[in-house]
Amino acid sequence: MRLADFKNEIRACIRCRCGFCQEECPSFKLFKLESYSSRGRLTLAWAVLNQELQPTMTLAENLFKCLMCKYCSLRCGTDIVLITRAFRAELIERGLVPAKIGEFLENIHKYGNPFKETREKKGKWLKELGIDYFTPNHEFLYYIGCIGSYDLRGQNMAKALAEILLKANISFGCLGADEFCSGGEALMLGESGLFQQLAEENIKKFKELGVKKIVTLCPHCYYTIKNEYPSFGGKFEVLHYTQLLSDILKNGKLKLSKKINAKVTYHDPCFLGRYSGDYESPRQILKSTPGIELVEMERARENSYCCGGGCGNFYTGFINGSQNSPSRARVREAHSTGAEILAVSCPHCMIMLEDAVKTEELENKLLVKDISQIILDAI
Amino acid sequence: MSYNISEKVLAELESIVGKENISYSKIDLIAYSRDWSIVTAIKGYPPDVVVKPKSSTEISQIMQLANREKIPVVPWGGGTGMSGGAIAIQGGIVIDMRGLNRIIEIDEENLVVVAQTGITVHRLNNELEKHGLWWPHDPESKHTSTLGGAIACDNIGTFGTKYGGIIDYLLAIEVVLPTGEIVKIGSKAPFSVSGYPLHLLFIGSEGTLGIITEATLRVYKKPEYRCVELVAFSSLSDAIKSCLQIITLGMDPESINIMAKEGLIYYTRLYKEKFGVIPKIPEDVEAVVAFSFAGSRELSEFQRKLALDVCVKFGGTIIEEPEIVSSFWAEKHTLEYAPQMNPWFISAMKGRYLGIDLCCPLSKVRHLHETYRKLLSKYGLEPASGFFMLCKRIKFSPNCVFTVNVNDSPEEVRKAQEFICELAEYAVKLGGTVSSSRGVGAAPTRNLLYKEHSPEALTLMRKLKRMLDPNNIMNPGKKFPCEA
Repeated sequence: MRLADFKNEIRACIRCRCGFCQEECPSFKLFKLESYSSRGRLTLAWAVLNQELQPTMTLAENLFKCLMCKYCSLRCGTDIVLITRAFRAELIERGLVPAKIGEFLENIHKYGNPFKETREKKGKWLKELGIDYFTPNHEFLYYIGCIGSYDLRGQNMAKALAEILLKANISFGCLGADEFCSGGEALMLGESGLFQQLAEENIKKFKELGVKKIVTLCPHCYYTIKNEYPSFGGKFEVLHYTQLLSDILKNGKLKLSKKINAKVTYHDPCFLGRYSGDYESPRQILKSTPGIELVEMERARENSYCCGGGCGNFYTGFINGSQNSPSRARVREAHSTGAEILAVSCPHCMIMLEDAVKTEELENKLLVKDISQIILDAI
Repeated sequence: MSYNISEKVLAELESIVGKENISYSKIDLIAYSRDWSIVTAIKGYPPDVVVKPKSSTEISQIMQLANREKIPVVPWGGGTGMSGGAIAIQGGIVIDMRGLNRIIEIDEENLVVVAQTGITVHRLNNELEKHGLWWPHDPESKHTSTLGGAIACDNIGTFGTKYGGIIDYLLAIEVVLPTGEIVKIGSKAPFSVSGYPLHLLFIGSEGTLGIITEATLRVYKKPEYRCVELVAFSSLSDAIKSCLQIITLGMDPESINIMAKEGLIYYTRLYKEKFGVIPKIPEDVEAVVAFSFAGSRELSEFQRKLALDVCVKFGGTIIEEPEIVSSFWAEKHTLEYAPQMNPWFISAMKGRYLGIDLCCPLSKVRHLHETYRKLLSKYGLEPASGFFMLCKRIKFSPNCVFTVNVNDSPEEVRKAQEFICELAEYAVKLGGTVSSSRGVGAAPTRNLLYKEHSPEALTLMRKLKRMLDPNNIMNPGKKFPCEA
């Protein structure tokens, strides 16, 4: 959809200035200017639609600082992230893309991942763990995603999950070098052409291989494949790994025998929480882990505060660096609960929050761990 | 309107607040060009520069500079104003106050809080709640609107019946005058007759006399229990009489709200979601009374039963559907909406909601309501949520809000402005006021001040303004008729 298709919604925001989108908006909290909140950005969209404002690179630099965490959409009467996507798409069409974002998208286009890494490197560790290439005999395609494949910390998460699935005798296979980026970030950045290309390639591959069920490491991929692929003919049963783990713990396929003995707080990732409405699966896993005392942060579930990693920010670092950057604010909040472990269920969150723990000098006080790593320790 | 601030002045401003706290980029300015009022319905008014100071000292330096250069200064709180108060209609410097958001002291023993005024009402209450306290000023905009905005616009909130308005909370302020002096007025003392209570002058001053940077407020223990009821009446007069009787019998409701039938329809959302249909509201319903009691469960429940008896005696019918009561209370207090169900946004898809706050002697409310109905027909305007009354001050001192839905076409905006003025003028004729809440700002009613106030009173107001703001830099074009 184009920006003009949202004219009624944008006009409604011009009429209703409730500003409910602002309270926990990461970019507004960081930059503290109206234009960095959805209310401000929709004011700019209105000015563009009425030709009072010509799109410029300054506008693009502002607009691409939104993390698409969807906090604003939940507080509003409309899904603002769809409008932001359309707004970004118009800027991209005009060639107004901040250099780092351009580089990020180009890497995905050229290399199939944002890190400029070769396909061959993808999933090199799969062989070491003895994980099969997906065949129609497997129940699940384990879709690892770019961070899980290339980033060291992401790999650790991906490996931990693979080990759990092996121990639980789950029938699964991976695609290794044949796994393309899901395109979720491209979609959120407004690059719908690139997204479509990736989605179509993936769907084709999945269908050729006879994939029926997919389990993903990353909530971004989970949301994208589950909710965006069906429009391109890709209808699969998609689970985020926490949903699968919660299930196999419940039905006894996996038993946890070791005690963890720690106070744990859980950070809801935007794409499993606000985008997909699943706040329970990860909590059920943690609650059923022996020895864990689960404590909640002040901003949890629908009000969870974004880690700052969305929309390629884990790569571009657009809104990192200061004391008020989302990831640093979030780890301070996690630390204030008295928790020793900050549990995550998303590789974006892992990267952002672990870096922030170091910057905040909380290394000896707060450990960022993926739920898969916690569970592996407890088996 | 652009004020054309010189590069030299911009550099001075930058040296005061720091490079990261100033912007004159077009996109940042446009984002500050509109609020919730009819003033910005057709076009926005971008300022020339936005600054984000972090202290009253910085604000004082900005004021001295602006006063020297005679540049307008407009304070911006949450930007939710309904009268254009925070809009730089003559250009100049917008001061975004949200950088001054610290709580300075929570004095639990004396039930007092001292806070900077850029804090949102909601965050202030979140912090107070950790100490078992709350500031019962409770506007529906509380997640965004600030403490400073609440004082400067003398706003209303749900719990005025029990706790009163800003005047009942405000013990002291720190204010930066247009000439740059930082003045502290008042103290924690619950009462004082020494000197003049100058802090009260800044209530409802709408940023025309200075910038309030700090406030000392009376706060309360958070009640442990609350009950809410809605009762429908076939006559507005009976609804008002039953409310008066509740007060006369010595009951202590924390909120009383009287609304018209249209208002009730707004609160049927949850019912519709559950049962798939809008509940049937009897044809003859003219008004609905909503009240709440809070405190100990025993006392609240006792009063609730007594109040319901009073309402029934006056011909009221208790609204039994809990979904309607919950929807009402969600809009008035909890603001807990399902995702993407913000009711204001949904109503804004149909038109701009205008709330015209007028107040007149209680015996004349019916006349004012009838005139509102007649004027709606005369101008061909839609009533939005109709009419409602909310107690702004302690006990039963209702603020009357007349609502209109306006599409933003120039023709309808003009009609709405004429409608507002005609209704406000009639309120004055009945012994009332052209604005009883949310400020006058740049709204058309500011031109009716001479209808309400004597020439001598207006002259005195202007003298006061000139004494404090000799160069008329503070929010010019607001509050007073156009020529001031």
